Amino acid sequence: MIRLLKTKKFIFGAGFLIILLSLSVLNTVVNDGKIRQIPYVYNEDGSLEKAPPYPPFDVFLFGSDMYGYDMLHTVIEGAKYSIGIVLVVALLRMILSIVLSYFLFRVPNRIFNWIKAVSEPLSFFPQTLITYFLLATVVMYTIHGFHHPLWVRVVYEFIILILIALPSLTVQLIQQKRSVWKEEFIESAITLGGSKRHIYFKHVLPQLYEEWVLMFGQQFLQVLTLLVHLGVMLVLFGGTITGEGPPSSVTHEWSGLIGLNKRFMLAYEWIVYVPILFFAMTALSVAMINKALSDFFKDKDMVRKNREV
Amino acid sequence: MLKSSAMRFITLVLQYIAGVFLFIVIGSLPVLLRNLTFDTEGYFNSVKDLTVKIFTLSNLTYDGQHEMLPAVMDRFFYSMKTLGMALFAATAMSFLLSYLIVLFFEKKKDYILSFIEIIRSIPDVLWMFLLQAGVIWLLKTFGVKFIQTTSLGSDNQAVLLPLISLSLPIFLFLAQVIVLKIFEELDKPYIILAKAKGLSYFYMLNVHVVRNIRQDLLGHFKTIIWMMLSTLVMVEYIFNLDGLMKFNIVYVSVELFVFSCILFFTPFFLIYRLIEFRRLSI
Repeated sequence: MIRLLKTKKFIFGAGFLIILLSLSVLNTVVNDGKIRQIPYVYNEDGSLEKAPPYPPFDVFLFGSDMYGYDMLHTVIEGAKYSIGIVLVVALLRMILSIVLSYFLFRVPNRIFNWIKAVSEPLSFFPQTLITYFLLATVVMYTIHGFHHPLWVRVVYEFIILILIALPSLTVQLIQQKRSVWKEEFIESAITLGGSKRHIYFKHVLPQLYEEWVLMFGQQFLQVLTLLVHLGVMLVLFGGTITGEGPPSSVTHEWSGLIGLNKRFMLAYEWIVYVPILFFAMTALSVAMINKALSDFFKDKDMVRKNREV
Repeated sequence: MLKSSAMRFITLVLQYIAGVFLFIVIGSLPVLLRNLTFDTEGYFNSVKDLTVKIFTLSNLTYDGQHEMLPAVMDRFFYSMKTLGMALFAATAMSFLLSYLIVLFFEKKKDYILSFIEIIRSIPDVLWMFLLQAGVIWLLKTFGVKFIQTTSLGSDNQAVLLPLISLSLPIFLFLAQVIVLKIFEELDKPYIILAKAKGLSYFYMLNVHVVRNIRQDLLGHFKTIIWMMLSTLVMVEYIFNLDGLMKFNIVYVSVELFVFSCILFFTPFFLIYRLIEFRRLSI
């Protein structure tokens, strides 16, 4: 475990995520979720010098949006929502498919082939478009306002984001378990009289949990990409506030920032780039953690094998 | 023999029909969930209607008025053309890169591979926006327009940028897989035999190794297509290409969605089955 903490990749990835999340939570706790804003910059004689949006490296490090809100501050405030959503979705995907595969993994081959055949067509059509289609017709903002309260929309989005990946993930997990079940030591365990539950928890699970950790990392990246795609296509998580001026995101959640600011793409490109950059940084950190973990597991396996010799 | 192949054919057709039906069931979900009240009766009616419409290919419209088939087929072929070109470009480029790595950077391959793996996680949207920004920056500084950043009408088609951004993720993925497979293959005993026979390294790589890793690469075909399709949605949306994916985003309708699902489903279903069939028969 300590060796894992010493790898550069792990420190870098975990450090970035921890700092980002703790700053984001602190902003809500200490600062009441307020975001630094400088509406106008005046000269000493009182005349107007600058008006938002400020470009990067001018007033703020990452520039500001149309109303003079600091982009960096906005992104940090939104971090806990974005990363939180992705974490919850990826975690629920994993847990649900693990539970499902526990009940399904010992079905006869014929039924398993049918499960595979039914789950397969979903991978012929892009997840992004399926999610967009299912979300756009139900939770999108219309002229009459939202049809549903916030929590219904949020729960519905969660359900769709989780269900969309469940079939293929479950099939993958079942395949893993079946391949472990075929190994020789399982047969010996059966001969020695271990009950099915005993064999499952004592022999099959220890073989698999490392792979699950890595799969969780991959799911995290997938959900993150899906969220970026939906954000670009203007499906915001939770919905939009309307009122005075153009619509704005409820939570400063990143995909909402991208979708809403896409119209400034050509003139004030940094407003879009900053959230996307943070998405990319988050993805990079998770990929680094995942890489460090997989190296670590490989090393650990070698150690275990050497000891046996 | 005849009986078993007939059985296999029937299973194939049944699987295809099951797939089509699954799309109809999923595609009709918005009817069930309209206003989030469970409109079961409407849902079953919609499933029934759609099934009849899809299997007879009649009365299909994309916005309630216009005939679907001519409008959709053109766009579908355009999407497939883009997809095919990008796949071809990515395969060629990744073979080039992996040969470079195998021939010249063998000592550094671990670093290169882990670098590729980490870079691959960056959302594809970032690449697209960066490419667009790069071209715009060139335009602003030099005043020369090298390539079209977005499609505007039929005269100003963006071709190069969509192709680059569509093939980039696949290129990285394939390069990673190919390099790993080549090194795996080089450890096998037959390579020693080939070396003993005095065959040149390049010949061995081209003839024996590539022939042996081709099967493995076909096994990754499914993942590759899956990745490409989801990137294709963003490419068509961001570069404003007139393909089927963007058509789906513009006209959100149950019939159009189900029909385009089936359109994409059919060729890939056949290809996968062919690949599986060949693997079984070898």
